Amino acid sequence: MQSNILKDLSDSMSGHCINIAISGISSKISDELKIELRKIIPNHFDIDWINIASQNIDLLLIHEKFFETQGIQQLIKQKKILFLKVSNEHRSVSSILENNVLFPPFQYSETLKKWIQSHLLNYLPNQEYQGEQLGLTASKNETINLISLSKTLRLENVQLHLFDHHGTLAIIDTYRKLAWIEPTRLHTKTNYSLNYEYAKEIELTNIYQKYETDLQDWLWNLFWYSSELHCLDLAENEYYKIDYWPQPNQKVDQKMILQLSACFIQGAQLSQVMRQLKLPIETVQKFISACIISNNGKIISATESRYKYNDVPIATEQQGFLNKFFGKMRSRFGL
Amino acid sequence: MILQQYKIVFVGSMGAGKTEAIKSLSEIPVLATEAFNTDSKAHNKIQTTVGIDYGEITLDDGAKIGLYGTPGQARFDFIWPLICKGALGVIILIDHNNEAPLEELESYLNTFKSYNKNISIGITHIDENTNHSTTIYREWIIKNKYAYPLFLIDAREKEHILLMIESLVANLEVNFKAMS
Repeated sequence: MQSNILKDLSDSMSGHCINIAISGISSKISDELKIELRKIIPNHFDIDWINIASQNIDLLLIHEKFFETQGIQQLIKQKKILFLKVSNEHRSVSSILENNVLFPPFQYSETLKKWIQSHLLNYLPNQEYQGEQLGLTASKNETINLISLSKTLRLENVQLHLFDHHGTLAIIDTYRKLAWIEPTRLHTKTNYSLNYEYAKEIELTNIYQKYETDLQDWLWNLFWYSSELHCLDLAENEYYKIDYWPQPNQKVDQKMILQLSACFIQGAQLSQVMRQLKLPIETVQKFISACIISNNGKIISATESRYKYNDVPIATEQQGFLNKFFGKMRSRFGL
Repeated sequence: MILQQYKIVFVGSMGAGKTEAIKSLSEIPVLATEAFNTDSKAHNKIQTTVGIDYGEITLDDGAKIGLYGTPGQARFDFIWPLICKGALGVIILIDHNNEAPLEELESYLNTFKSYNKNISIGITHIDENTNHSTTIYREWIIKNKYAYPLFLIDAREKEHILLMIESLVANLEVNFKAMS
């Protein structure tokens, strides 16, 4: 099922992504290459790590030993695919030698960067804005997926494979409350193509090649920082109480996230928080949606709320002084 | 000892990173009173704080915020109320490597919440002990229905310490606005 979804999405995205296939290369070297290529290729280009059997391959990374095989030769000739051969043989400095062979180590390779620019990027149109436009087309399926995902995450002992149209995001374990993140997607965002399935044995055995982190924080950050994901349907007059303060992993929005946390840790009404913090209701809904997805807190009744909200704040001298003081502190600390 | 009008207090177990945290923020060289650690059972660091660590920052109008680090050992408990009185907040740092980090956290919290309500908790050295899960801290917060922010941090990272200070400021702002 997953492969079909990914194929459909991949086909529809072929004009916006660079499709790279890796074949015959060990998973360790493959991960290292993915990380380097993600650093080299500008962020406005998405990268799809696709199977060698897929259509629309923009670049094929193939182990040099398999390059001469009949199947690979046919593929390259028939489809005129750009290729780069990869060797296992370590060199002191990473370089690309004649006949397009890349030698490890790959880190900080200026030669690889130049090769990607001259052989791949220079031939692609500038697609910076197309990706953004695509993000606006979130469908109803997205909400269904999120609700279903949120319910599954509340099950006590399941291992899931989370993915989107770029491929794997993470393998997650609800019992140990851990996420093993794909190394190429540490500071990731996702979009409406977010989906999941129960993790397969092979995916679970490979988790040690991935970055381990706290599941709930990772999910919270994934949802909050993925601007293309829409909120769950939450009424403004609902009251919600979070169980703990989510930990933002980026500086962006930190002040807002902590202020929202300071309100909702007491149990508060969405509309009251919106008015006190002077935020759009969508931002408050997004915060609560991220908390619901990461299984942090629940909807409560008005009587359970401990948040003291003053609808008509009185401007006092003390209030003025404190507001000024907080402002100076923020400015000094760069908060 | 200089007692500034505005203070942020760092407390916690030996080796949890109080001195490092203050160093990461202070605009003056931190007045640290370190001595050779003779309590290797509690922590294997070579030196430990035996007095008050002091750092400071100056706001645009010249007002100073004192950053105080108090020793983790109970024999210094006479200093705690003095420093915490009127502080903007208290940051409790707990070393995840400790034998019983939750008991230690509980003990600090029970002591310091009587001096100051605005508390933020940082769990440090999380990469050094992968045998113990860090999920215990969240479970503890939820079980006790505590409203304190709790973050997994590296005390040497300025951004992480700023996250904790921001949580103290956010708490003050939100609760002050709600009451005014």
